[in-house]
Amino acid sequence: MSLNTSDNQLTGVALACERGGRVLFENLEFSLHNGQAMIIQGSNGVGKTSLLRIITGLSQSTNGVVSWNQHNIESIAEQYQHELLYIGHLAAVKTELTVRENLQLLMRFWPSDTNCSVAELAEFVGLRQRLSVTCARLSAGQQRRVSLARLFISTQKLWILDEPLTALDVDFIEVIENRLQNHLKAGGMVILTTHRGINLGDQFSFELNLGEYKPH
Amino acid sequence: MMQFIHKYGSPRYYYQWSKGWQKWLSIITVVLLVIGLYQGFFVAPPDYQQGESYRIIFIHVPAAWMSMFVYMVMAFAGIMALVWRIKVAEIVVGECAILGASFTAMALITGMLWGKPMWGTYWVWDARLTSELVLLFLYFGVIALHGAFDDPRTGAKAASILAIVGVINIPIIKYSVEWWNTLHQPATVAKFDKPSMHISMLIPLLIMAVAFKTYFLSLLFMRSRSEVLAREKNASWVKEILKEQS
Amino acid sequence: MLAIRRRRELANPLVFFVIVVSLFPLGVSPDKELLSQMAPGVIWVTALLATLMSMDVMFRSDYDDGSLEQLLLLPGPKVLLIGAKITAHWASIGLPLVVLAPIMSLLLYFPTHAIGSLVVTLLISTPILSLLGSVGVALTLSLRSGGILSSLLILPFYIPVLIFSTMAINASANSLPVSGYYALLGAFLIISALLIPFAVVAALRVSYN
Repeated sequence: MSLNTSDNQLTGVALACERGGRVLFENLEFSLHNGQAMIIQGSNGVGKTSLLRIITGLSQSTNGVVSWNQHNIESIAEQYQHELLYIGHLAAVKTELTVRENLQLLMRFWPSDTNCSVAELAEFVGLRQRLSVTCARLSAGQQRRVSLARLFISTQKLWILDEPLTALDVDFIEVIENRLQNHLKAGGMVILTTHRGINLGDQFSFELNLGEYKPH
Repeated sequence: MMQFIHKYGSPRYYYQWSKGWQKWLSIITVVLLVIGLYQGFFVAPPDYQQGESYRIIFIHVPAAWMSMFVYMVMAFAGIMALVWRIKVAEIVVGECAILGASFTAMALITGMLWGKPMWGTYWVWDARLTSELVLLFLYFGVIALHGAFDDPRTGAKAASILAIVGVINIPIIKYSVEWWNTLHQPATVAKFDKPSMHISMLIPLLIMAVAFKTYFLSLLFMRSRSEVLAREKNASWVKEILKEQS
Repeated sequence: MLAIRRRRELANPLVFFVIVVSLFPLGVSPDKELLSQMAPGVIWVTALLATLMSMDVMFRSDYDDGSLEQLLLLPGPKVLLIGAKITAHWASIGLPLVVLAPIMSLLLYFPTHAIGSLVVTLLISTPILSLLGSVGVALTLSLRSGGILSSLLILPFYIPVLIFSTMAINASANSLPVSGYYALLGAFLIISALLIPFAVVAALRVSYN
């Protein structure tokens, strides 16, 4: 997998988020460079998902700016979306369709490494034997695998993952951790939330504790 | 230009500059209402066909004009809220919806009251009444959508989009209703001819129209100012004001 | 182009359409004269309601399973994607209605020479219904009781479509020229198709805020 390793930078300046008249966080600052991972921590309801959605550009912050290479992400949305891979806590798996159809959809819609076949992709996520099963009949962990399959064909630099390890078994967690490490090694960037800690080996990562930005 | 908009649209500045406007507009409203009502109900001559009952137009017509005008104001505020993200404009959208619905309801009720002596029934599927009824439905939609969200800012944004879609649709709706009306209703209904109106009736009507406008604006300022305070209750400038007053 | 599609529950609004139309003779009277006069209005109002019923399907499941947020993050013009979704909705609801309506019109003793105009108005107007309806659904997506609210928001916007269509059918039943009505409906369709996808994208963004 080859990523264009020119220097990239994602920054958040003075970010604030207000929901239903309550300020979740304010004056939040961060800066993320190639090969770095940011792990967002905080208790439930502190605004982790809100922050991720603000960084993707899906939601607007009440205050502050998120920039990609010094440009406000709203003004370069098109370009930014080419570099961005976001997997939310919803799997975005079509339960009426089979595993094969779902994987085909992923490959068709997203900028992806075209050398990989559906069968290979299924192999990566350990669903080779279940290609023609409809996703409604898969377990939660298996559905999660289908959505995480995007990580194995991704050509995007910035990965934003909301609780990627939920419902996964120990073996597959290791697979994902390896995948993340390789991505970082290749100069990619990762932002994720997790309740249970994640092993990123010797790759550079730092923690952002959201609770510290809550107004008193 | 943008700086100007953002400065005067910031909740704090808005609260300050709107205070004087609200006061003067309220005074002008009272003066104009007194003059207009006196002129309309006591000075203007009775109509040669409808006698005294026509006098309700001094309320009905300005209210009907306002019902359209307020929708335009609301859609314009909606554009400001969505494009420039001005908090005060979001508040104005919500307040306009309620005020506009009130004016529309007033126009409908006075129209029905007027219809009884004129047409013999309270309701006639006349083009103007029907458009007014549809307009009331549109206002209901905006109010319902605005109130349906837990987060008032999201509600205001959703309502703004609806108001903008509505403002494009209103001319089409009006046109279709008028057309429908001309085909379905033969000219048995005596239409009230506006251009032939005598000057002694026209003057109080215009005074009332202006009075309704200033009335709307002063109400809008009053309601939005208190809403600004409520929304910004955690901001330091609001706390200062509250401290001064207590 | 847009292969994300669900094939469920799409028949329900069509069955609704058939049943409601059959209720009118039972509720009003089986009188031939009366029914044939009411037919355009009955068919059109029922078609409006059936379309509204089906609107929720357009984005609901995509919203619930997270595909819609992915769709908004896809690089490329969102307006085209939304346009494709609306087209898919029309093909699954509007088009079957166009086919069903002439059959149902026979049950209401609708004059056969005017059936052509019924089909033409439905063909031009059902896409408008899908377009306008999508705004309402997109605005109310994040609400629990969004379905009823969105009908409330959208029904007033359906009025011109209803008026122009039923007038065209009536004109045709009375052997009057109808091309003017078609032109108006066509113009309305073009304007809606050009503007509404933008409103839907904006509405979806608000729903995700």
